[in-house]
Amino acid sequence: MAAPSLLRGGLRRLFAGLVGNGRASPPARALREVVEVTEGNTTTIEGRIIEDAEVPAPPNPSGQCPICRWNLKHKYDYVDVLLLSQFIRSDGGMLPRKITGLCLEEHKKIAVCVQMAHRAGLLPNHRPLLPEGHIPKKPKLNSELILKRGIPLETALQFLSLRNRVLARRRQEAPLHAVQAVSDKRGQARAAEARGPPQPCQAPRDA
Amino acid sequence: MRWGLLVAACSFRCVKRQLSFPQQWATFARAWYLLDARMQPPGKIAAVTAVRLEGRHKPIYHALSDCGDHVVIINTRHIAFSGNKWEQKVYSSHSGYPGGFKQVTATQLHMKDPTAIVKLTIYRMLPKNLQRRTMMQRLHLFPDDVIPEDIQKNLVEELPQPRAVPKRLDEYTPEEIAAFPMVWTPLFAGNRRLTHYGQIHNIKVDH
Repeated sequence: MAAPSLLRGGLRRLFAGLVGNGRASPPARALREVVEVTEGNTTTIEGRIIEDAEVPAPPNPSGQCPICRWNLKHKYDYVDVLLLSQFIRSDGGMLPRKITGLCLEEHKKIAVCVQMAHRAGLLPNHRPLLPEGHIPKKPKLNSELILKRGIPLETALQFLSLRNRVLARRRQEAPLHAVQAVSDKRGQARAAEARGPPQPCQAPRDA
Repeated sequence: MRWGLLVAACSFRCVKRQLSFPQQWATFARAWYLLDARMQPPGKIAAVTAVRLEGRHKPIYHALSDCGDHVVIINTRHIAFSGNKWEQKVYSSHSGYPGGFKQVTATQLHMKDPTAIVKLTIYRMLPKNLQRRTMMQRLHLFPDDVIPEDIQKNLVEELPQPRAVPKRLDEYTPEEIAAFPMVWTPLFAGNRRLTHYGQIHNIKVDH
């Protein structure tokens, strides 16, 4: 597709200059959407600047992450889809922390809430792209609330790559829960070592 | 039947009064209740239903009075189990013959008979006495919201759903979505540099 490669090329050109400059801050450029217009013999491909809507000032501008800035630290849940949908891609995955600006603990909390919202069926239009002609083997049944420890099999299968999908299917035949519990603990221990000590969000405590 | 008024009228200081014929008839009449099981956990549905079938919601309750009411449950096909119960919950039965032990998951049972799960849950919640079969005869289950005419005519009251169903993202009106502020903007990620992400080529900022 022409549009995404152009966007990628544009981004690369933008940051190529940055690497040379060293510590200089990036120039403020707006997000553009690529529009292709064909009039007779002429095809015009232009990047139109997306005008951001007027955003009201957050109640706590000195916060380090969006959650602190809007005083939502312990105030949201998996049902607050309007908030959660601002941090997800169109196929349901989380946006990177460096783009959204969330601190680590809030990013993880939002990730867990997003997973629970997916499981509860509250984000029906953010499904992963499946190949055409794919027939789902499992019947569509309503589900609710899933806690972090027990990642449901269907969610895991949707978001893993093909290789891991095959491995996960093989694991399905073997006793599943013991294996998954052990691998979850190992993964969490490894992640904890890599992370180091947790750094809390530096925001003034609200009453 | 206004149970509150009846209780207030028969205070402990008044003389023992005999109910008039129409009052007796109204007190001991059997009512028909409707309950929508859409997106509800079957356990909570069964708890509410069992209370009504026994007659425990009435101040004139006695186990031998046969004062239970009728309950009509619709949309049993759309019940919602929490957690992994669709895959993990097992319903066992034995035909009585050798080799007749059968175990099916909740999914398989639901596919075979969409009312079976709710029926079994209610049956197991009722008291284990001879009145149980009579109470089950007063329970009417329908997989969808299609009810026969004669039952529809009898319905008196709709019971409130035990679980508050959360709103899906596509159930919000565009006005509500526009009224909710954007918590973060794409470029100003906490004064941090945006690094290059070549893989994300369909990044969409969702509202």
